[in-house]
Amino acid sequence: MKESVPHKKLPAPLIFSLLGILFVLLFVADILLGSIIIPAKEVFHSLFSTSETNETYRTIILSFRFPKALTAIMTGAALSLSGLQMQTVFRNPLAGPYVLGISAGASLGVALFVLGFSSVLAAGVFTTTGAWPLALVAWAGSFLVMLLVLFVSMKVNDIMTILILGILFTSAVSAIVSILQYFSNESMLKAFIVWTMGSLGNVTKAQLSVLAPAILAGILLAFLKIKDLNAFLLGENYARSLGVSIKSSRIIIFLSTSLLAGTITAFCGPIGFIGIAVPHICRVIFKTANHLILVPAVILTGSIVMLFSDIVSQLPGMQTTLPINSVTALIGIPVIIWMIVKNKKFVSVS
Amino acid sequence: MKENNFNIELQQLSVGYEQPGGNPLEILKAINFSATPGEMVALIGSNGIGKSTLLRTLAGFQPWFSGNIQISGRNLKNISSKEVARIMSFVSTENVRVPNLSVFDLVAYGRFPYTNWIGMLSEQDKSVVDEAIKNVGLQGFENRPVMQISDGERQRAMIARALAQDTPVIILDEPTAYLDVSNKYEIFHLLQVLANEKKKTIILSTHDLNIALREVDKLWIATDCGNYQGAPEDAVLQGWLNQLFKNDHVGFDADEGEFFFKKEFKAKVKVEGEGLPLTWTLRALNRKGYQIVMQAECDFLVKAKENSWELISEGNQKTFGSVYQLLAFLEKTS
Amino acid sequence: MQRLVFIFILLSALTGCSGRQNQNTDRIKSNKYAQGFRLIKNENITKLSVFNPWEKAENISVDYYLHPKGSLLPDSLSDQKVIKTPVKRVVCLSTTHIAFLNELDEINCIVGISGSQYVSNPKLRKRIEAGEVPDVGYGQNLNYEQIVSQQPDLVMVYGVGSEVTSFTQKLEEMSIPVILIAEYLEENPLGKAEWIKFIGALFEKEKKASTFFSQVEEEYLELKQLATGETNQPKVLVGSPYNDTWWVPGGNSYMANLIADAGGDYLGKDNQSNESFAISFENALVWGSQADVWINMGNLSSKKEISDTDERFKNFNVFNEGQIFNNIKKLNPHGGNEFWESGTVNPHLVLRDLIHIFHPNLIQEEMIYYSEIK
Repeated sequence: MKESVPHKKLPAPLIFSLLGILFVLLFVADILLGSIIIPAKEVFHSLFSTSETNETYRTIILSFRFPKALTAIMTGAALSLSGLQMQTVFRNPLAGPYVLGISAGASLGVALFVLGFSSVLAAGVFTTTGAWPLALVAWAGSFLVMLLVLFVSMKVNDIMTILILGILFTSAVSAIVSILQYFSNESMLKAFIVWTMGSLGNVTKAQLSVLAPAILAGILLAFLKIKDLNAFLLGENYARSLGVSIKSSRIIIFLSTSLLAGTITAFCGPIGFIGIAVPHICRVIFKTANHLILVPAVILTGSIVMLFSDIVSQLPGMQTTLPINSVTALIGIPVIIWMIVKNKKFVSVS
Repeated sequence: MKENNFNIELQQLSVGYEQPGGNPLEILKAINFSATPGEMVALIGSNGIGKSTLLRTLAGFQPWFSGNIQISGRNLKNISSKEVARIMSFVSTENVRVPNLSVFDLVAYGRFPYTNWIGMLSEQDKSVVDEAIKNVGLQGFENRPVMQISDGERQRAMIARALAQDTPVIILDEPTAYLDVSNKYEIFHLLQVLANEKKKTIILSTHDLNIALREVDKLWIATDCGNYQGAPEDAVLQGWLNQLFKNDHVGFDADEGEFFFKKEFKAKVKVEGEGLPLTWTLRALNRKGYQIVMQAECDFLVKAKENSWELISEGNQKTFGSVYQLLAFLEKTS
Repeated sequence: MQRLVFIFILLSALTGCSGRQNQNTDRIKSNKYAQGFRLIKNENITKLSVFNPWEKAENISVDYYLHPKGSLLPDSLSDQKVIKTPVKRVVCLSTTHIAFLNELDEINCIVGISGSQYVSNPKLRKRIEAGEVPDVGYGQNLNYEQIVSQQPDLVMVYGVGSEVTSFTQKLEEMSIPVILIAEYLEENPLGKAEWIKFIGALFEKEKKASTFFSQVEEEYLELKQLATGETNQPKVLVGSPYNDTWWVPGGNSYMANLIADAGGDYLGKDNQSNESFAISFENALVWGSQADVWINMGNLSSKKEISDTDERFKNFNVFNEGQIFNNIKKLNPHGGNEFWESGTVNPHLVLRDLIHIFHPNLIQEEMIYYSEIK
């Protein structure tokens, strides 16, 4: 697509630069701010100097805040990108990264695990792979859902059918999880519920080294499908007439979404709202439908929103922290409402 | 100019929809149609007969049940969608609503089969798009958002997209549906030029029969009693057009080359006059159900002059300043 | 140099062997009732093993090595979980741990806690109010920054399910020693209390722990003998419903064992499991009509409150003609209950309360944890 410049639109490079600056500022802020107040000087010492610094501060900065900030960036990018893909493929502005049932699959895996039905799994896993069991079962759950979705999408032509199946599957899994919860005692319940609130701070450096490649792979797949995603905006029939191979395109896009949303859910729990809101924010800021701009835009904007949410959830200077899910919802909902009121037509994708 | 040697042949084709329970719903059966390069073909038939279904099947959007679709001897099933995209472009009746999409961007979609992996347009691509926009009469609209133009303009933009795709075959499903009269003619004219000068094969479905009869090379007619193809004149002379209507009150006037409503005649009238006033007064009286007679024996006489009409009946004479007034009077008194 | 190394290795191997021999006897010695841990002493290294530290765990054991501060860590321990003793700064993720520390006089070592509003211990409450003991959150929402800034020698963790490993590993990555305490999984009341030996070792107070426990054991067994001598055993109903489901202790659970030791006939004793299980309201009704005594109904403190929760309780025989007692005497306004704090470490006191309920003629002392519900 040609990016012609009509009167009311800011040029994309300018917007990207501004967002880039915002990104850097928030990244730095996320490391500077936290539950414990650490003077900025100490922060820089911990990061850059090898000389004697306060060990406590250094541990907090390097082993907690830094990995957490990286996790926030990847979470924001991954969820926003998979949300964008789902909104385009299903031509539905309410679609999000979990519309295929990925988070439901992960929840089911975690529910079975935390609510105690897979202790046999945990036994060997705890001793051999350390503390990956939670992430593994969550990822296994989303992976199974992804296989199911891929299988269905090869058999079924109509994209709406796939959407409905995804939604129904999510509901079915929720029902099963409810049953598991019903028969659990209070402490197990609480443990499961706390998982559903999402958490960026629990990711260890070792886990980051698995998270990062998975997210990068998902992003790469999305980049490869930019052209097809643009074609999908016209509807699958037109896309086909332009030469897009619908089935294989869908498969790669779903694979990308599963990698992105499934991996994040596995390591951080289900984090909602970002995936739906950020693509809309980008469409309004950039005033474009071209995925060549939107894909990098949602990656950058998603990271920014997530960094901001993380800073807020840490309630800097206070003892308590908020679960990340509540923060993303509290930030996201007013933004969406403001956007709907300001520009009534923006919500339609097609 | 691209060499177009793409023959389209539909052989004993049967199209329709899958139904749950196995038996497909066959909408059109045993179709034997063909089109050659440089031909402009109009597919006509009554509503619901399956024109859209046939065109969509031809474009590769849905599978068919039996028979063959051959493109220059190759079965359409065996051609990959990438290759088909360079052979056939399609304009459907679907309303495309994408926010933040400009007309230029919409038309630029036509270059999709030719651009690189991220869809960047080359200079040549851009000029093809510009020309397509010009050809449908939308210059100046390049930067307008697609959601803010009228349905007719959007339809023209979609046609421009198909033009930009620069395929030897273009298939259009009711491309003139939303257009005003002058635009209808413009589009038909444009498609004709593409067929004649660029040797493209144009296949369109339309309800604008009067234009189609005059302007296209070939008709594909789908009716309940059978499918016919041939020149429009063949259709007239063979009487196929009458089968389009199940309604006894409508018929095709081979002389006039038009459809008309068969009427019960109310009275006999003789008309005197010449030139245009005569012609159009005859039409008006015909429309109202008066039988035009030549003999002296008539119920009343009308004299059509430059700007006045005289009505002589039962010895009375009245003058009117317009056809409207004349007819109004006749209605009152009959 | 090489010779020295060889001798060193030889010596280590020998001491290792003898260590293993001693292990058997030490294993038998370390605990009588508790199933979840073992304490093995080897020269100046104590090995603490925790078994199946979360619900439904099987064949899992975790080893911790206690090594005194100040001395060099031997190579054999270089990739083991090591805790430097005596622990001086500890973060507790469960209020039960507080009770153990209280008996060991180590309340002042607590530098962080999870769920500070539930704490009953007055000394600790004062410190919390003075701002010395921050609340560090729970589970996935653990406030790592708070924990690190408190510079703890140890974080005492309890795991509900295997997901606990996700935050134990994070803590270990931040070089904070973590230990799993699984006293809450013990079903034997004395076994639960015996964990004081485990915790005592962390503070180099094994002797104090041992002495304390022997005392508790002696009194407990005395009371038990007294109570089980009685022939008339009242039938006991336990619990109250949550919505429509009535969760009752399993037949082999802590509560069931206490009731049996106190000379009571627990109505759910036929259930073989040590976990709570759900019964229908009808089932509860049947038991309610058979029971002589009803105990442990959540936070309800009067008969009116009970009938307000559900009218149908009035149909329970035990409601009208039996006796009702609830363990809320030491319930603090924030929802914390001493029953689960000091009660855990002093099972003999809980037992005495129960005997008071079932066989009032045997006990003169006032109840500590239980009040009669009127």
